[in-house]
Amino acid sequence: MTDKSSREVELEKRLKEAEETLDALRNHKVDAVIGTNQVALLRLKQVEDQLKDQIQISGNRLKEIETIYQNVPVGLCVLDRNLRFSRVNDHLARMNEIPVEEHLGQPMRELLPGFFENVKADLYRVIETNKPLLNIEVSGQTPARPGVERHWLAHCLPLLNQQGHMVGINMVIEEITERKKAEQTQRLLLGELNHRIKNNIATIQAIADQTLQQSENPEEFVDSFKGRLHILARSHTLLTRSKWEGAYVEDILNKQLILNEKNDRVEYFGPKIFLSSQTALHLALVLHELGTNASKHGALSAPSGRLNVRWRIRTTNNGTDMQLDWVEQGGPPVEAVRQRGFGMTLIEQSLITVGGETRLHFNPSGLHCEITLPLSDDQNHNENHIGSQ
Amino acid sequence: MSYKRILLVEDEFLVGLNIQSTLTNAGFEVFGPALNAQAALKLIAENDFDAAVLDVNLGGQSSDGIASKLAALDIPFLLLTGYDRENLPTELANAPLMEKPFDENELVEMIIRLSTQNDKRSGN
Repeated sequence: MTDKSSREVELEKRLKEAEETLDALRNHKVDAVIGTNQVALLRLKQVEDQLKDQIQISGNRLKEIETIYQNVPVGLCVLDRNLRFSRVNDHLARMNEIPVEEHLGQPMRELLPGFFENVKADLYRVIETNKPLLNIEVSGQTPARPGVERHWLAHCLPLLNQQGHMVGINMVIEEITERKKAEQTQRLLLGELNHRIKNNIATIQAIADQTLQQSENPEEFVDSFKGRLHILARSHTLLTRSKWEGAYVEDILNKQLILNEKNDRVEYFGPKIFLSSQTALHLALVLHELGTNASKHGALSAPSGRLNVRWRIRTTNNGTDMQLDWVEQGGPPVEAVRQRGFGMTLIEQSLITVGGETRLHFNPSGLHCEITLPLSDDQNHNENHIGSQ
Repeated sequence: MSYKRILLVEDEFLVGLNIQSTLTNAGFEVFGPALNAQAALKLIAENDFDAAVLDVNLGGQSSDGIASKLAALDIPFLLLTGYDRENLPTELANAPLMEKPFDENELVEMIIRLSTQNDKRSGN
């Protein structure tokens, strides 16, 4: 029994060993299988993570591009091969005054007929040639603003898929209506400037011709002409300072005229009145002639002579005007006849051009010149207080 | 032979004065210078003219109304302007044009030509 039992024991021991081995084997196999799966899972996880990163990066990129597409201050759209809108940015939607979603799927021909008419030839050409067309100037009207001619600068770029097939057109559209307007304004301004310069030259020509007719010798001509040219130049300087809006009566008298040297014998007094540039220019010419006359023959040619200039604003039924009185006193006896030259014509008549009037009184005590000039209703520059020397 | 009667429309007095004396010295009878459209139209209504000298810009206003009136009355006119032709109102774009500053002899020649234009046609 002992043998048997020891043999049994031996068998049992072996069986156990075998079972253990089998177990171990079994266990080992399972482990190996599990190990392989784990590696695969790990790799899968890695791929998934990479994919997630890629998706994140792509998402960010897309968002970036979308943001730029939407926010860039230029109109952008994608047209399919049938020239229907398949993508539109906010700027273009605002430009067309049509919401983005109302663009999508709609043919440009129907949505923006005026624009389409002017750009269709170029769009067909891009589809045909597969080549971009840049800097196309387009003009036309939009349903949003009927009757208003608008201008755009457009670029048409073929849109290719990954196989290189053209699937549509990428359009870049910039509205240049304002720029066009500015260009036109500039052209008009240049025309106007040219006109003014030529008119000024014509005036100088007239002054030269008339001065020549009244001059007895070359010296007299040079003297008179220079004086008149000078006053024009000085008035221009004064007017340039106000960007050609005009000038104050006081400034015209004060700095521009003969008064600088003989202040003690000259008095002038009046409210601040702003004259438009043309009126200021003509008044300066008249005052220059009056001043020249006063110095040569009038009150300022005699030591005891005095000049008094007063002006005021007068409101009548016909509107507002300026009254200016030029009063000479204490000079040599006045002779009306001596003054019938071009200078006198200038004094008497040149203010007619700006709607003014001049009356001359050859009083025994001295010359009295009355000037009336219409003032525009818009007298923002004027103040009611009295300005004086 | 009576003097040819010329209407002068020019808003710049000095320039008008100069044209007036140029044309008067050349033997024309000059009416004006009219400084604005109103004065010009009044002169046209009251007188017969053989020709006219017309400044394009009258104190910021176009003189195309006067031009139409002159054209309707078959009075030839010369435009005097500081503008280039491209800046002219379309109504005036085809009229004979002399740019400021003008040449006196050219002006006189042009006015002689214009003021005798209707003589040939009517046989005067």
